[in-house]
Amino acid sequence: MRLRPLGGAISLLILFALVGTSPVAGQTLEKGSITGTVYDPLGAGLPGATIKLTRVATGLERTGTTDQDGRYAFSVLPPGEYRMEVSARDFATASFQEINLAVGQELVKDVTLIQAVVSKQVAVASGTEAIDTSETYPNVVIDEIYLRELPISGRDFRDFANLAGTADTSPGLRSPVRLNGQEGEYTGLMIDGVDQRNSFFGEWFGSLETKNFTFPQDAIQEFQVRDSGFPVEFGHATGGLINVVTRSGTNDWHGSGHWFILPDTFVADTYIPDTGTTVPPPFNIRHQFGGSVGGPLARDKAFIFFAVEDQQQQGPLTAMFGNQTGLNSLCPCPVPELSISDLRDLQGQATQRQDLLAPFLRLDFNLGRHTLTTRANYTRNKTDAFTGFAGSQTFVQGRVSDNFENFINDGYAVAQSVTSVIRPKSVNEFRFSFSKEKRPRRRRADFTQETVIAGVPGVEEATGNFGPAFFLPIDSTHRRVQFLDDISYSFGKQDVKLGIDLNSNATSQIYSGFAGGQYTFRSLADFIARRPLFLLQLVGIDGLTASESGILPDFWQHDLSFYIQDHWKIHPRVEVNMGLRWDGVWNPKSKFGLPPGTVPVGKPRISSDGVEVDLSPTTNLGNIPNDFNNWAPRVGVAWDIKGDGKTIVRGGMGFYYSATPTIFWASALSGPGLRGAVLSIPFDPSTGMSLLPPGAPVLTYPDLLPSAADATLAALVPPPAIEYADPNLQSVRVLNFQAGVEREIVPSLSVSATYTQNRSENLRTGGFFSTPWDRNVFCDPATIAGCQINATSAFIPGSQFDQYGRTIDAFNLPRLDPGLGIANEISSFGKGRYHALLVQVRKAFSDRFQLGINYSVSGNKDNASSDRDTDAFNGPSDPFKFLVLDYGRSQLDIRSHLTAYGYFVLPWDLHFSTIFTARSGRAFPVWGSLCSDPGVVAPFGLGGATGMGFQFQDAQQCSNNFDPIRPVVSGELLSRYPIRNDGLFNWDIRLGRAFPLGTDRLKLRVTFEVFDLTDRKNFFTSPTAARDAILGDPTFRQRNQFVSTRSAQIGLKLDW
Amino acid sequence: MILRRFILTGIVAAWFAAGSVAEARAQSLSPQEYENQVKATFIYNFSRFIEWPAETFTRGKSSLTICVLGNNPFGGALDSIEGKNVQGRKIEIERLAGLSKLDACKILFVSSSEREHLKEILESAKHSRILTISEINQFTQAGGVVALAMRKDRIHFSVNLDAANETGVKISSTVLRLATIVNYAHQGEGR
Repeated sequence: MRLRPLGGAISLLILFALVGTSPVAGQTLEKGSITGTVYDPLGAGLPGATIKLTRVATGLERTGTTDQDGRYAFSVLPPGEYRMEVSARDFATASFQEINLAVGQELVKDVTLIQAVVSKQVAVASGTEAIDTSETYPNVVIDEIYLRELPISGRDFRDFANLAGTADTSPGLRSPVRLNGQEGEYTGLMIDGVDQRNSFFGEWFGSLETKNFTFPQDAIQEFQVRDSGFPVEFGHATGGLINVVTRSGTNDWHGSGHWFILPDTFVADTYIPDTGTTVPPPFNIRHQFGGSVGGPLARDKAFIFFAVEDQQQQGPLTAMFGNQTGLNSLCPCPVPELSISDLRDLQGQATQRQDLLAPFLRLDFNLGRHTLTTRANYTRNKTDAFTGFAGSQTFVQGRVSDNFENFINDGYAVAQSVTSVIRPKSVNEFRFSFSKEKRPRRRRADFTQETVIAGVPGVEEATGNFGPAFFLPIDSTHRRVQFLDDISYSFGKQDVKLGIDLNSNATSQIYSGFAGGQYTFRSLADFIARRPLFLLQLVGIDGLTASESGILPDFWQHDLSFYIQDHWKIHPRVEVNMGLRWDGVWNPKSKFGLPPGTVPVGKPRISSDGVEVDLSPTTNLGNIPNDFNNWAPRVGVAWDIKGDGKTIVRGGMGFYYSATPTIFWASALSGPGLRGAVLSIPFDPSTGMSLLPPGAPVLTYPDLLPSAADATLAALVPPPAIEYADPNLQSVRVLNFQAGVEREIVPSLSVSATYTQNRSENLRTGGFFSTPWDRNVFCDPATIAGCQINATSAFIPGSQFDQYGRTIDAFNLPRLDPGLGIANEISSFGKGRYHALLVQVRKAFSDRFQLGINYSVSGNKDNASSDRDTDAFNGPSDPFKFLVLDYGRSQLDIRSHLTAYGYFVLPWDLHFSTIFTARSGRAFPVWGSLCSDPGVVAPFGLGGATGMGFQFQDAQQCSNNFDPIRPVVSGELLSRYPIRNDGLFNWDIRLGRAFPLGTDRLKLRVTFEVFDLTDRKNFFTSPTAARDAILGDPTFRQRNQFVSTRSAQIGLKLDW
Repeated sequence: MILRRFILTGIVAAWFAAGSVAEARAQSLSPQEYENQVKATFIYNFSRFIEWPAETFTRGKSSLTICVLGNNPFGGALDSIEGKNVQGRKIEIERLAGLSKLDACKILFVSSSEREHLKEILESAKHSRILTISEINQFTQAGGVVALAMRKDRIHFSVNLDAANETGVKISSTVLRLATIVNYAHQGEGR
């Protein structure tokens, strides 16, 4: 029954696509519009004038006539250079050249005609306007010149999105670029009008966990970065939007070939200040080569464009155990059980590879009133020795190279669009796309067991992991289908648009963490003596093997949207863009359900009496709730104060929604506790044999349990740890307000100042590994005095929380439902507020000089869970220890951000371009440790999760294994992100020159680029080991990862 | 003889053909040149809607003289309207360096270079019954008749009706409805 709205919507969508007679207009997704008024020489609107618009590259023609007030409108135009011819009886025909329409631009082109008695016919080259007078929010356009000329390491065009004033990303992180103070998973990426993200990871299609190109840079015509304030036709994003248009073939054949090489002799060694270590350059060598060719299949009718980009990169990975002195004092350490002659042999340099391939094909057809575009692209990323955790690193202590992974991330996408001119002022656009990608992640070792040597404080011994990481292998497959249709109509002073957008994505995954078993030893000496501390191993239950228990079949998420928007020139100097969008999200249903039990749901209510929570049986919580309450009204205003296009005041307000990435549902949908269980098997420290009940197998290292639990093992299965979604779960919502002014200072140079504020609601709390939020630890009403409970709610005595709101000894608390282990709730009652002042300087595009400067100063607070797998991956697991997170500085907080970029043609035709970036440090989490008590119980992931009650032997072992707590300093609880990293500073330059080879049509461009010119290195201090973030620990704030070092690249490019 | 005639005919035909091609080819202008052309055309059009007192024109003289005082901001654009007929009179263009030849003008375009001498110029023009046009800021407020501005590819103009009355010219309501009206009593925008 609940699917009926979806079925009805699909019918409506098909109706739209097939009939398409209703009005709408303005700029569309990856397109643009040209509107204006034709005047006579006295300034009166000229009715009946004929306008012919021709796209120079492809000959695409559109014609129209002016209305009684002289107005005309062309919507849904592909970006590019246009020629416009305006004619009227008794007037000289005027032909305007070089009208450049940018992606997403609403270009206003007014024309005054001259009588034929004065002049017969005129051709006018259009001037460049510094300010877009119809745009209601300033944005950054990365045009063809910037794409061709700016320095770029890696040739992933999306790096240029970091030029936006509110952008924030660190190379190496798996999160996409963050815009306007929101998490990267809520940044929109539209390529040719279709969404190009992976809805499971919330990352970019083809770039799962790593930074790599997925499109040839030559295939990108231009793109627009909008921090905020985008109209209702854009959905699925609460932060900013990256709106990209790809290149098509033209009436002339053009092609190019290129080769960029970055050898290690051009890369500085990297000195890591806090460790005194020098590590080799991250590259041995990187080759990037490719090319493009495009032209007419039939002049003015059919075009083809093909491009390809390939990368062959290899570099050294230096990986070793911690404490070499201890290692060498006790080894050689042969492990014949695993065919290892000496543990030390596992150390040293391995080769890290990242080989990429990305071909792209586009076909365009001008078929009278219809324009048809077909695009297909493929992306392949083959990476060896990927270290994981906040991107790939080239220097690791505490893990050796067989503990890393090899993967292949490949995918393809096809997109089809049909633009139909129904009437001169009415255009329908239909799009369809399908994409699929998969990423098999594989072990590098020949055996399955991971071994952890924890280390004992005060004893000089090696520590670290070897063997395959516990989470490998993983297989993920993702598919996405999109249908979009919009109809635009221009009438009077209004452009109206009506649209529908259906976006469905599916994921299947095989994830069976700990299926290969993970042995933990207290020390290297214990390892040499083969005296394990414990074994963690996943076993299948209910007749399943461990691997079978990790199979998560296809689950779908559907997002259906309708929108209507009106761009209204309400006054000659005032334009208003207003609209309403509705998004409905059909979330996946569980195929397996949840184990029976009772758990708290929703937001705890805190009062002087204690804490009250609502309770619900788990039978009601198996499915992820749908969300149909997403109404997004938006309005934006642009006011040309004097009517001269020199000073524009802008403002706007609106709601934005984005569905939660489905990775957060994966555990809840996998039948937690019903199909598999991680057993924690203790070992006798004197004999090295497992301590299991009679009848169970006796294990010694590296033995493993049977994959499927038999009756004896079934008795060891702990109460199930579950995940479930809050029944009131909502999509993230942002209320954005912005106001600003842009002023042309001198011709073609403008300065703008914009204030923007976001109020975020329904931010995610709990969910996924980094931020589990255990709701099953509060109290046992049967045993704890003062714990009140009734049919729907329970009071939790405040005595179980300290004066700072931290839970006391959480793992020793009785379970609210003893039949369940951890009950991790994924809810959405986090909130946040971001505000920023954004200043932009823009020098409009020209052939010899263009410039952009973006500066923002901002503040960002929230009480939401940390972003997934970013710099706060190992941050304080606040939801785990706190009843409700306190509101304070967000992990996304960046105080100041400056980017400046420009392109200059110097004497002797030398081309110089540069990108300069300076940014405040990112907010940094800090822990204290509960590990002063050697008898403390292990938390999640080390027995605590399974309820086996494993106890750490000492503080060092404890702190090595994640037992963080928010510290109290001088009687004050530290905020969640109290310290900032060092600021980021980067300066890249490129110098180049084009040499004609016999003819003007054939040119060789030679470029020389230097990245991180000042060799600032830009370490960022996110910890990869828990101790790095613990106050007072000797390794606190260890700089453990660098994101850049000075390097240089030579490029050769042949254009014809 | 036939051959010579054939060659002559060919040369004449080629000459005409070349001429017609040149005529058909669009005049290629920069944005600034086109703007100048529009302004010149505005003056031409505006003059079609003006009625001068009968005594203004000297008996026997049939031209309508448009004078430009100061630096010529039109480039060659005024040439395109020179010789055109307005109300049965041919347009003549005079470029003036000073006020000595003002009496010959029916329309005086005051260049921005004459801003410093505006008061003196307007006083002289008023006595000579000349319609004044300028791009100088606040021109109509200073007593000029028509202020002209090009904003976003469109002509905008204001008319000081009091000043127009003082010169004795009548401006057609057809053109006045497109103008911003200014007068001495109420010097604000009134469109």
